[in-house]
Amino acid sequence: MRVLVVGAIQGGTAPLCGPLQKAFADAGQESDCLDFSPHSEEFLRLQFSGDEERTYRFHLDIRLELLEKIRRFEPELVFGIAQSPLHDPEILGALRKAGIKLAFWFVEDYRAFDYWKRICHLFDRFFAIQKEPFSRLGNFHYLPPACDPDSCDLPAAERDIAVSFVGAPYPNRVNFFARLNCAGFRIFGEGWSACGNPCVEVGNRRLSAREARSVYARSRINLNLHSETDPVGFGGDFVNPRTFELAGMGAFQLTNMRKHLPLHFDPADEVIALSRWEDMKAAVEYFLKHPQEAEEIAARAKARAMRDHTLRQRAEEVLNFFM
Amino acid sequence: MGKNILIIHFSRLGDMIQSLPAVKLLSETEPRPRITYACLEEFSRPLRHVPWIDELVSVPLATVNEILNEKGIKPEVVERWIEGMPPFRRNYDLLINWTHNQGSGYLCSRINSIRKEGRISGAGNEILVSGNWGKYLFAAVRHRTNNPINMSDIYIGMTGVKHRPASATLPTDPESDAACRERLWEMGLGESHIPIGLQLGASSMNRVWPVENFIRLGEMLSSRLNARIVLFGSEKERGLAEMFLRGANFPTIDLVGRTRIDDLPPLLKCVRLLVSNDTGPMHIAAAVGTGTVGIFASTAYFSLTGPYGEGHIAVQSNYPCAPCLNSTRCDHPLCAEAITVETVWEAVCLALGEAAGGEKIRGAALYRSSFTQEGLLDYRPVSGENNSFAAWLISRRDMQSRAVHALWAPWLGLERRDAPVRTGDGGTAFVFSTLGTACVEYLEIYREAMDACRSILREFRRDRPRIEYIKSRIEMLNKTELKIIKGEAPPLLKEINEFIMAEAAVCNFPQLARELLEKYAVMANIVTRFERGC
Repeated sequence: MRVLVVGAIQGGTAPLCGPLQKAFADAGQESDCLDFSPHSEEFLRLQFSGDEERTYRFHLDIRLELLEKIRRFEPELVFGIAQSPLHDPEILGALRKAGIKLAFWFVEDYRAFDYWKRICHLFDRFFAIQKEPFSRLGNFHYLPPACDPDSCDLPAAERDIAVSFVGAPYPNRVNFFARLNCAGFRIFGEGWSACGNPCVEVGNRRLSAREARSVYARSRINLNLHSETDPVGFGGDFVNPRTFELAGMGAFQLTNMRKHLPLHFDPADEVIALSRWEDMKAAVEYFLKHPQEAEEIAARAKARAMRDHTLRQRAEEVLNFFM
Repeated sequence: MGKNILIIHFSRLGDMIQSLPAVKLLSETEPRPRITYACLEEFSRPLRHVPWIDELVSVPLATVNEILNEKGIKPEVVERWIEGMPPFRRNYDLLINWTHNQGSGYLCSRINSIRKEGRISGAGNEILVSGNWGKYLFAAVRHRTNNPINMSDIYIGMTGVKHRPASATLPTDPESDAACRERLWEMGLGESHIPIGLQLGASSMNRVWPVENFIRLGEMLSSRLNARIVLFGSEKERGLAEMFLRGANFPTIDLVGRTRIDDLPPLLKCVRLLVSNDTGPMHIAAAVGTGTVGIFASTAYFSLTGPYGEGHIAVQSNYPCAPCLNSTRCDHPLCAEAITVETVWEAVCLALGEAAGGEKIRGAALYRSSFTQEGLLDYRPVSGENNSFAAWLISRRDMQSRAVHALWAPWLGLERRDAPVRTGDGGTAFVFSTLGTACVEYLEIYREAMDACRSILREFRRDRPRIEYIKSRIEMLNKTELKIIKGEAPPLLKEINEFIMAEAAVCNFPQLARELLEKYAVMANIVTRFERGC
């Protein structure tokens, strides 16, 4: 099957494009990808410019690039990743008429991004990392994130960071991390500079995927606190891509408990998932004193990720619907 | 002439049975009160023989769901319903509401009583919780790992009687006892057998220990102790029973779906021990004096809902995420599965007083119940895993809950259970000092708030109060409220703070400043006493 993966212009899912194309290829398909991430700077510039004409032109060019790629590659399946510019009903309708199958992977929290409502019905299959509110859609299938074994395969790094967090300053993270009295705690991520947390190491820009992986590999404890708009929110449903990436790298993580987590990892044996912030703080204290136990848990997570949670396995799951 | 008391408890079977120690102790006060107990009709039959309930009012669940639901109360409908319910139109000396839903609070607000405890709606239908113990109850259900006080003792606290052990809280009818014994004989219970009950199901599948494990445990009990297994459960649990019977290669007396709810107490009285998930039958067994091994996973936590009485064993999952909150409840809980058969076997040996098999405890910690000198139920750790984070965390929680007891005991009128340990391995001392730090932080916040209230009152006493100044103090009050909400408070404090503040009269400044000053002083007093005690 000829599969075209359409990547995001910007955001956390942008680096997924290439690895996912390779995953389809590894699954025995002829695949190609359209990576829009080189347009991210222009996209961000225009977003706040108020220049309607240039913005219109930008989006027109994106559409033309998409159509040109489809014309040349002649895919049988177009697979869009969250934040990809695959949302024009006219284009999607025309592609369907031409007999091309359409699928979309919504690797987002539906509460934070509601564009799914406008596009979900335009695809033959709509994949998401949450079960609700999608379960009522006839074309829905739950597809959790996964790790890319190629990116995970880093040379062993010295664990010279005690505790780290990489990600955006959502209200729950700002609130809880302000209360983590841990000398070796370091925070990396765009927007943290304004939060006044003395543990911020890089706070004015988003770390590249490679930089983020380097921090994960160097950290004895990775805090994986899922995003929440409620400052005291600690629960939730979906399991974020970072969980799979950290596991795939064999990096030890403490995460907040998620409804779907036990479907993918044992919350006591492969990752440590907590239901309360006070327990997460206690866990930091414990694992700094018990690094060997942390390494053993991380090794089990890696084995599980390589066994059950690679992008190739997700690609195969998607292909099951179309072959 | 004893007091006239109304208890409203439209809750599940287990909660109702857990309230019986409180009802019994209340009935023992002099002069003997007259107790009316209103409960769900579906669970009311086992209470028919309880001699200390003078009047049993049973209301169908459908009526409670329709009239007294969580949202959308229609006052005129409730009023009409009360008209047809004479017990709710009488005057009482004490009304206790142990139900958790909003509708019951509204009902209680419409009943005449000199004193009211528990959830009572305010004049604007706002949620109020009356009494310190009532506030503690509603806070504790959100802080299960931090709370060391058993639900039955919280209920006793709400009645106002002094804590002391209560036993045989669910008397049975001797004729029914004999009939049930006879029935078990006919179904194959012999003289030489130890009858051991298994309760396979639970109200939520998340709380169910796997049936395969129950089968293996049954095998061990049969072969090693010559036990005769008796299966308990409702019609809904027939599927589990069928699975059990298919897998079991030992004789089993199957009562699943074959017992009326009023036969359950005498039948459970006939078994020596019940091994059960956290369920109503587990509490019934404890109430009729039968030993229990309770398995606690998912949202269940032993310290709050462990069976009442001496010598029960709680098998508590030690998964770091357990007990889950509603917001962290998962699709596929592994915590129940991780509790090994050998672990529950050890618990059974402990409960029966048999020599333990020395099996390795995995996936759980074991606790045994006893009573403290002040008459409260106490679950003490007896065995658990070593050398793992899970084991460390659960023992840390035990320490934390003892520190939390020290914080709230004076406010609840109890003695502090354990004196804080200043020296040691960094465990207890660390936990107490962390709690002490949180208390100091909150004392500072409450002092700020009290200062702001005093400033407002002083300003209003001036001939020409400065409006801008008053506004700035009100702004300061708002900020302190935000600090209370966002801060890392001592366990249960935020919830109890909320309940206490909700009792402030709806009024304008300066009266509101007076109201708030009084409430903040109560809160400041709680944290100060802990600090002084340390």
